[in-house]
Amino acid sequence: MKYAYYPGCSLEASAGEYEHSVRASLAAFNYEIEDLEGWTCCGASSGHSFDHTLAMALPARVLALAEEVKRDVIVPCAACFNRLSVARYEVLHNPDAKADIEAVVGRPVNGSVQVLSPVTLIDRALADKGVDWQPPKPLSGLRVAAYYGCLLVRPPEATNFDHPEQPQSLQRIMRRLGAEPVKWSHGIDCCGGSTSLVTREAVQSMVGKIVAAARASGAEALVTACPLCQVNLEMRQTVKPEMPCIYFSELVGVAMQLPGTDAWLKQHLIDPRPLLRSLTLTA
Amino acid sequence: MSEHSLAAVTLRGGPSTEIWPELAQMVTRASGQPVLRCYQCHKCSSGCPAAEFMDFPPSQIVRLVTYGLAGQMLSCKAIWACTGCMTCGLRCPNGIEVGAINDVFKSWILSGKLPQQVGDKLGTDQARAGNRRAALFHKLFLSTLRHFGRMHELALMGGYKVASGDLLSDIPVGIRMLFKGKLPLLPTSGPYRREVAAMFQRAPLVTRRRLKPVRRLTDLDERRQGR
Repeated sequence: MKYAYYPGCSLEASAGEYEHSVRASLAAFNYEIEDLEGWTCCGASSGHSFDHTLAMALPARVLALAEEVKRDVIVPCAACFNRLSVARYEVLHNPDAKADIEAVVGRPVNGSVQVLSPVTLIDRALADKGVDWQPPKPLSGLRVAAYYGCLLVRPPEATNFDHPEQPQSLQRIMRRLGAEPVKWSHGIDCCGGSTSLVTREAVQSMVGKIVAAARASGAEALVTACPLCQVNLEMRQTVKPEMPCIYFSELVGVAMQLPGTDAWLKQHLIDPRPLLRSLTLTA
Repeated sequence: MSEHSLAAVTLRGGPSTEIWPELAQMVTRASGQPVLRCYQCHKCSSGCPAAEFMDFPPSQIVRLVTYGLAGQMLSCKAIWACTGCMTCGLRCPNGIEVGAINDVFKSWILSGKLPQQVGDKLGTDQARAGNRRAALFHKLFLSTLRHFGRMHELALMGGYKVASGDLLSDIPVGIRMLFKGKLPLLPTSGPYRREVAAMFQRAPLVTRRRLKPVRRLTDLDERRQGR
């Protein structure tokens, strides 16, 4: 089965490493994807502060495009994933909202396609591998804190992602790849990414708490699936030594020895390569 | 214990404390949140990651709305400190997401359109006093989106830095992001951008139909100045 793929704006710019590593990871697990033709921004992080109908219509347009090609849509960006999921939930559960949304989008929107995070798909693929399976380069000795942030897990009725307070899919992926996910308390806490430019001091404090909690539980890196969190967590750290925040798909790349891995890791504001090299995971 | 644990809302000097009884119903309709169900258990404020940066933490926001204190709501800093993380909504025993309530007030301020009954009782300056920088960021985000159909992070960040006057603070990290290829110079745009611009035109009309009546802030300004 082929999936539609909606990269979203961040993956074209600040999250280039996520874009390339997600595509490579999905291909490595035999998922076929096709880019959604004519996609536009989902309006995340500002749309809902401006106009409720517009905030639903912007992601609904993307849903409508996926419905036109009749494919479930893979959404790597957690913010886009959230907006598309919420719009789909509204369309399915609120007839008034559906009418409003269709009037604004100018296309029919039925919520007939699923919105999927690549985390779910990689998690499923690894679960199908059987207990003996090992990646070509297990991530032995790498202790990571699985960081979900807000947008994948909340609101649970719309995102339908994992347990809302104790999600486990990232930990499962990390364990299957040979890494050691630590037990910690801040996996679904907010990093303040949406207000990172506006309230810098507040966001620095929020990021500081998350990094301190990760370090206290023995982690050497954060693992995430959200481009807003990733940039924010690396940009707003004020305490040395800094802790890199790595996309789960980049670690899939390291463990599966996918080509291009080094180029992705190079793009980080906090370079994760010294850590990976010290564990002899990369050359 | 911090002041966040106080059950009663402390009324501060400054913004209008005039009570508008229909506010709770209006916000319920606009946000879809059952605000009147709140019994002040404070789970939202306990779990809110931004509460320490707010003048009114989430539970007090709900109180302000149920009391009908529109002036306090429109001028408070809390609605702009809210990151929209939805933790409050996840944990509320009554299914109230305070972030969605904040969004209603932000949208009133950003669109410059206050519901008529609220606007009649309030000065427009109050509504704008909250957090100019946050309002500016959202406006730039939306105008970038309206123009290109997709977000262009460099235009957004650069535009915000220039317009806010907070020009110097993030220059080192901005330069590093440019060199890492994280901020492409040109936006990817296409014919679809017209479709997005049209959605921007239609959406507020649809919202207004559902949530009448509204009056533009500028009309109020002019009326006050006797024009």
